[in-house]
Parts: sequence; structure tokens; C-alpha cells
Amino acid sequence: MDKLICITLLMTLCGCGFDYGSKEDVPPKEVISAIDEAKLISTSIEDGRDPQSYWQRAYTISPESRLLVRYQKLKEKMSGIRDDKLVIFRIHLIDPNQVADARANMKICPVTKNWMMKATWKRAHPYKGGEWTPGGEVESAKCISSSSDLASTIDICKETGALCFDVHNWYHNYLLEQDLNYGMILISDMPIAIYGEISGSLGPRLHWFENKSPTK
Amino acid sequence: MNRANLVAVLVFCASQIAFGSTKVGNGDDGVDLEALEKVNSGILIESRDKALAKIKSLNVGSIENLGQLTVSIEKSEIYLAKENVADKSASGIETSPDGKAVYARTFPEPLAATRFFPAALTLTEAQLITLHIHEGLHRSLPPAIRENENVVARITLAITSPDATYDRVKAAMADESISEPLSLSARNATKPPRPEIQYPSDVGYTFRRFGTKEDSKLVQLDSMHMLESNLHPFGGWAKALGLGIGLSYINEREESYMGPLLITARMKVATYRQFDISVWHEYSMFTLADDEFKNSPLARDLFTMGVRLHRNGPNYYVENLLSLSPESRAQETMGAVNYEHVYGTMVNAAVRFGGKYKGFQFGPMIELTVADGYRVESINFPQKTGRLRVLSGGLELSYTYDQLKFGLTGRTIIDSTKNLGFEYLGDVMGRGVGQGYVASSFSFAF
Repeated sequence: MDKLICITLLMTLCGCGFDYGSKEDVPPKEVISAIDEAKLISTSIEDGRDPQSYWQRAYTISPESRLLVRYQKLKEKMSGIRDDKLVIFRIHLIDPNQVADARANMKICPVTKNWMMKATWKRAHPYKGGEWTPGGEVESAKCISSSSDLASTIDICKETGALCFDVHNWYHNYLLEQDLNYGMILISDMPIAIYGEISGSLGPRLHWFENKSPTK
Repeated sequence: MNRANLVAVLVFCASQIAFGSTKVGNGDDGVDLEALEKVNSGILIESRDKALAKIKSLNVGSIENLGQLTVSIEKSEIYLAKENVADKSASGIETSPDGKAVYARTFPEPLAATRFFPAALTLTEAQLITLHIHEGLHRSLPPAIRENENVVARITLAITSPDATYDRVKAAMADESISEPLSLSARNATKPPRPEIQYPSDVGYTFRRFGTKEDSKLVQLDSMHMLESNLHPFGGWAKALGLGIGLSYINEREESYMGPLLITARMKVATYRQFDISVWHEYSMFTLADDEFKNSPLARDLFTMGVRLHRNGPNYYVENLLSLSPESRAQETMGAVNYEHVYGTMVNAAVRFGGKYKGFQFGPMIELTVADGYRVESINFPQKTGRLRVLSGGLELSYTYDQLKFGLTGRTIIDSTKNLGFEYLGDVMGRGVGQGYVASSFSFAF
């Protein structure tokens, strides 16, 4: 018995103690990052530098207006992102009563052409070759509608007026497989107003999971 | 020394003091210095007046290179020597045929006095008139010919011959033996500073209206006002050195704001074969620009240095210009996204030439710009043009009246890489934006 105690103490001192659990048993850390690149493109806005098209408190998404979104440093975060976990894009509606309408009419789609903050309805950027399909070039087959399931499982999706989209496929297909961060575009078949990127915690968010370092 | 000799010496010395400044002789060493008496009346004065009347009647004063003859005869003081002198080596109008008597002498300077000798008083009135005119020509003709006895005699005879006319005198002046030495002298003569050196400084205003393609979305500048002041107080008339300052005001579609501040330093370093060689440095700063313009792709501080070869002829001008602008950058922020616009090193070569006529100056200009290219970078959006080449040309028209100058300039891109516009060079104050510009300007030189 004394020998066993002694061995245990020695192993504890050298950090070779019993394994109290593997990394998989450590719950992953939730990371919520604000979308920092948001650009409204609209049939009524021709000037890519129009100040009404970016850095706003609210945007109205409609058949004539769409919102390009991108988290700038997502590529830098990739090494820590748990790719077996959800990646969620969340917005907040100005009118919480429109959540049902938004679920039925709003979708988020992967963008297939790189764009900049001077993007317009007809151009991804003002340089040579900047023209794109009016309204943005998207992979329509991979567009995603909001899932009500997320509202019951993810805390940030439970908030009043919140609308969540599961974009982990987009993350896999574009970031992991192609190393492309062209962002996404929010499309709606009816006018729905959402909070913009300078609306604090109500602005668009990207939510993912990272491995939490185990405590010693 | 007795008293009489002392007085004679004193008188002689006094005469030297009194007449020491009198120009005597035709460049001789004063061998024939004699006591002189100023003449105010008599045959010498009367014949001089008739000589004046003669040349005025022929209007020789309007003939090139004879413009000073009248003044030279009229203002030249006349002195009479006491004794004759002989000069067997001399010949011509001023000397008797046997050389035993010199009639008159003068210095080849415009208002030098004329010294007559007693032998001249034996001449007829006509001969004295001829002598006055001859001596006057020695003083008034251009240095290249006024001491050439044959030339002066030929002109004298042209003026004094019985059938002399304005046309005959003019024809005599155009004779090759006279015109050739004059033109050779003119070519070899040191020229006085040309007008642009006499007025090395200037202040001026320029207005430019840019022309942009409909599908050009990079920048949308409409026009620009520019005030410049270039002062060259250093370096003297031949090598003006100075500093210039330029302020700009830019008009966009619906806004206007202060543009870049231009600081220039220029110096004319040499003149070879009538080509002025100048060097210049230019610094375009966005320090004073409005915030709206500071946050634009064009808001880069641009440093340029160059050399200019310029020749300004009587009815033409030609200029070559070579400049270099190193790479520099501009920052643009939209929301939380920062873009860096990088403009590569730029080399520029331009040629200007044209004709001049009565204050008007008109001609084309052509310019080739080669740049390392333009690129814009952010975390997720890289875009670049690659090496850029822009060939542009235009026309320049100006009118100069005394110290005022008015100008009109038009410039357009003839060919460019990927049909890109001037905005990809990032040189608002120089080449502007878009496909070109039309500019009007006026300046005052001093």
C-alpha cells in the first residue's frame, strides 16, 4: 500500500497522473464573432461608395436589395475551428414578429466571386472584370434557409428576433476544401429589416466551436 | 626751369587733365596727340548739319544697322587740331591720297568725338559732308564691321553718291561683304538672357475638366482648380533656382474638397547649344486635403523628380522631359475593411514641340508612362493590374502678351494596358484621372 501511494505521488509530481479525461471529453468553446464586412447591394444604388450601403444600423433585405457578408479573419481561425461542430450565421430582425416570414422567405447563399466593399448590384468591384450576375454570383443549389431546430439547441438562436442559418457546409466546401473566403449573401423574397453590423450584439454574427484547452 | 617753361608744362598737363577723357584717334597710341580746339561754328559745323540733313532725307535711320548713324553724327563733339599729321600707311576718305595729311579721326564708339585736322579745312563742302558721314559710320555701325575701312567706305559712298536713294543704301547694306560678317557676329555673340529667364518666376491658375469613361467606376472626379506660385529668386538670371507651391480644389459628382498640396523645386542648371537643361523635384502631399479625399485610392503622397531639355527658338519650341516617381501607397477604409492601394514606380517620358507666331504658341505633346503597376490589397481581396503602359497625347495652345500668358490644353489616352485610365497611375496633380482632360490656364511671369 505504501508503495502504491508512493508511486502515485511520484507520478502526480511528474505530471504522469491518471488520465481524468481525453480532449474529446472537454466541451468545446463557443466562439461568436461579429461580421465585420457587410455590404448592401441594391438595384437603386449605383455608386459603390454610397455610404448608405455599408456601416449601417439596419438594412432592409428585399427582392431588390441583398446583403453581402463576410468575416474577414475567418481563414486565420480555421486551425481552431471544430469542423465536426456547427457553424452558424445569425441575424436579428428589427421586427421579431417577422421571424416566421423570414424563415419562409429568407435564405443565405455562398458567393462564388470575390467582392469588395465597393460592390454594387452589377459589379463585384470597380476594376477590370468586376462585372457579375446582377444581384451577385451565388451557388443557388447551396442556399440555406433558417432552421427552427437551431432555435431550440443554440443559445444565441433562442433570442427574440434571432434567425440562425447552419452554414457549416459552406464552411467545409469553401474554406476547408478550397481555401476561399468569398463570404455569403443574404437574400429575401419579401422586405425584411435586420440589424446592421454597428448595432452591437444585435448585428450579424458567425458562431462556431473551438477546442477548449484542458485545465491542469 | 624758368617760369615760361613751367607755365607751358602746366598748360600741357592741364590740357591732358581737361582732355584726358576725350577719345582721340582710331585706336592708335596717341602719336598724333595735338592741342585741340572745340569747334562750335564754321564750315565744320555747317557741313555736319548738311550731313545730318542728307542722311535724314534718305531715311537711313530705318535701315537695319544704320539706326544709330544720325545720333552718332549729331551728338559727336567736333575738335580741330592745331597741326596736320601724316600717316602714309593709311588710305581712304580720312586721308589725303598721298597720305601726307590726315583729315579726321574718331574712335569706334557711338558718341566719341571727331577730331579734324587743318588739312580738312581745304576740302570742299561735299567732301566734308562725306567725311562727317564716314566718321559717323565708324562710330555707329556694329562692331563686326565698323573698323573695316573698305566696308565703311562703301557704305559712305552709297549714302553720299549723287544718285543715292533709300533703296540703294539698303542694298549696299545687304551686300554679302557686309551682311555676312554681321550674321557671323550675331551667331557668335553672347546672347542676353531670353525672356523666360528675365521672368523666372510666375503665379498662375489652372482649371481642368476630366473625361471619364462611363464604365470607369474607380474614381469619379469631375474637375480640379489649381493655384500655383513658382518663385525663383536664387541662382541669378542664368540659373534660376526656386520653390513652387500649388494648391488644389477638387470637384467630385456632388462634393468638393481640398486636394493635394504640391511643393516643387526647380533649377536651370546649364545651357548647351541653346538648350536649357533644368532639373526639378515635385512632392504632392495629401496633408491638407479634406478627410473625404484622404480616404480615397488617389490619396497617396507622390514624389517625382525629373530633367527637362528645352529650346525656345524665335518661331519654334521643343522640349524633352524625363521623370521618375517611386512607389507609394494610399489607404482607404470602408466600414471595418481597410484597403491598401499600391502604385508602382513610374517612369515618364514626354516630347513637346510646336511653332510660335506673334505671341501664339501651338503644338502637340506626346507622353509615354510606364509603371510597375497598381494593386489593391485587403485581407480577402487582392487585385492587381500588372505592369502598366499609358501612351497619351494632346495639343497645347497659348498666347503670351508681355508677362501674361493664357493657355488651352487637351490631353487624351491614345493607348493603355487593358484600356485603363490615368487614375491607375495615382497622379491627380499631374496626369489626372479618366481618359484625359481639357485645361485652361493663365499665369503672370515676373
